Amino acid sequence: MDLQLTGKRALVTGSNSGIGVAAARRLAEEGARVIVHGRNQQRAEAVAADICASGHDAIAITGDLSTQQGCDALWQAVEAAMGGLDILINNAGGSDDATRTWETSHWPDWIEEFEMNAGSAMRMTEHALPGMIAQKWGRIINVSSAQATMPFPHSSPGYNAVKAGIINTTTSLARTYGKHGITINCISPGPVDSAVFREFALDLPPLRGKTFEEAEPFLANKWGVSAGRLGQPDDLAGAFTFLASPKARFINGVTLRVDGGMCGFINV
Amino acid sequence: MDLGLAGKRALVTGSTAGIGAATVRELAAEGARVAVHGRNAERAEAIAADIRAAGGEAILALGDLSTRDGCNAVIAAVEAAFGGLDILVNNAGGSENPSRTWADVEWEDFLENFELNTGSAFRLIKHFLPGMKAQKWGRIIQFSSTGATMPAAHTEPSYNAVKASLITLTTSLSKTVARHGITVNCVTPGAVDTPVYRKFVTNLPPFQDKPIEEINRTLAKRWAIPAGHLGEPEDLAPAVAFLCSGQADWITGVNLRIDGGMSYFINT
Repeated sequence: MDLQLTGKRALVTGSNSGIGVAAARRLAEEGARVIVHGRNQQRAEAVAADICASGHDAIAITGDLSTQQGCDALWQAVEAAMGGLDILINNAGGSDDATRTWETSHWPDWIEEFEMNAGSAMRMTEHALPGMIAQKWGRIINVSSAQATMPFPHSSPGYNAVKAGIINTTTSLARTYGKHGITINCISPGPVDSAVFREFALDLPPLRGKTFEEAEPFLANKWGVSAGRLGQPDDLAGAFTFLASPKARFINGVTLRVDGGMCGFINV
Repeated sequence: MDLGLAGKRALVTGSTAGIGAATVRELAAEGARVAVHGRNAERAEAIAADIRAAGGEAILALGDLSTRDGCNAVIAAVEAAFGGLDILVNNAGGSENPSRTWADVEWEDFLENFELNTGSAFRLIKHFLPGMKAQKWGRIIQFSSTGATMPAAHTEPSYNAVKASLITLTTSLSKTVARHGITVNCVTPGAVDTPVYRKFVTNLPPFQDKPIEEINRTLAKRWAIPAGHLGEPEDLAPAVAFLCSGQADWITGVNLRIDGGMSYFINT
C-alpha cells in the first residue's frame, strides 16, 4: 500500500531507542523526512545515520522535553531544519522510576511524570498546530499505555494517571481540530521489549538471573497477553505509520491498542 | 508499506457495494486472492470482473448469509476455489428497516437482525477457524457501528444492540485464538456515504428531492463530525487491509473507530 508519505516532515520524540526508533525508521522508509529526537546526542545521531545509510532521510536533534525551555528549543531547531511539521509523534515519556507504587510515590513524582509525558506532548502539540492549521493537514500521534486503562497495583500510579490523561486529550484535540484536516490519535502499547523494559522486567524478583527469552512466556502469561509473546518495537511501527498516512484521514480521536490482546475488556 | 498480503485467500462478505466493495478491491490490489460475496450474481460479477481487469484474482461466493443454507452455499464456493481462508472480513449485515424505533420494534426484529449481522459472522467463523488454526495464521474482522457504541434516541434499537454484540464477540474470540497466530478485530464505521446510506437518507422526509451533497453537508453538521464531512468507502478499506496485514500481528481484540472523530467519548 502506498501510504503517500513521501516528503512529509515528521518528528518522532524519544526516537533514539525502542518504539521511537522503529517508528522513525518506518516513516523514513515510506519516504518521510524524519527528525530523530532524544536526550543523548550520540545515540540520536547514530539512529539518524543508520536511517540515512539505508538511503532514507533523517536528521537528529537533541533536547530535554520535560521542560518548557527544552520544548521551545526543540521546536526552534525543527523550524530551522524543516520550517514546520506535517507529522508529530509524541513518543517521548516514561518514568524515572517505573517501580514506584502508591507507598513509594509522592506528589513531586506525579508532577515529574506529568511533565515528562503530558507536558512534553502538549507543548510540542501547541508548537506544531498553527502550521498544520495553516496548511490544512497534519497528523499528531500520542502514546498512552495499557497501564492507563488497566493499572497494575504495583506500577507507578502517577505514570498510569498521566497516560490516561493523554487518551482524554487525544479525543479532545481531535474534536477541536478535526475540521482543519488534522487528525489526532493515540497508540496504547502493551509490554514491548526494549532496553528500558528489560532493565525493569528482569529485575522483578521471580525473574532475576533469567534471560529475556526465558522470562517472556512467564510475563506474557502473568500479564494476560493473549498473543503469548511480548511486543517488539517493529510490531508498533506499522500502526504509527498507517495512522500518519493520508489513508487514515477518517480515523480521528481514537486510541489504538497495540498490545497482543492484553487489554481484556471490550474496546469502545 | 508491504502488507504481506500477496497470495492470501480472503472472503469479504457483502462486497458488491459500499464499504465491502472498497475493501475487497483494496485486498485484491494488495495481491490477495479474493472471494466477492453478495446475494445478486450480476452485481458480484461486476466487482469481480473489475478486479480481474486490474490484474487481480477474484471468484464469486453467492448466498443469503442470514440463513444456514445461504452460509453453506458461500462456504462451498470458497472451499471449492480456495480450499480454506486466510482472511475473513465479516462485513455483510444491516437492517431490513433502519427507520424502526422503540415505538415499533418487535422481538422478531431483534432475532432477524441477530441472524443477519451476528449469525452470518458466527457461522463463517465456525467453519473457517479450524483451517486458520491448522495453518497457524488467520485474520478475522467484524464490522460494528457507532449505533452500537452511541445509540441515538430514534435509531434502530435492534440493529444497535446486535452490532454491539459483534464488539464483544471480537474480544472474546481474540483471546481464544491468539496463540494460533490468528488475530480478531473489529471496525466501527461512523457515517459513510454508501448506497445503503443514500437509500436511507434520501427517503427521510426533510431530505426528499434534495441533492446528496447538500444532505451530507447538513448531516455532517448535525452529527458533529469533527472532520466536517462523511466518510467514503475508500476511507475504511485501507484500515481493514492494514488490520489484515502482517504489520498488525500484535493487534488483536480491538475495535477501531473510523468515524472522522464523531464518537465524542474517549476511546479505551
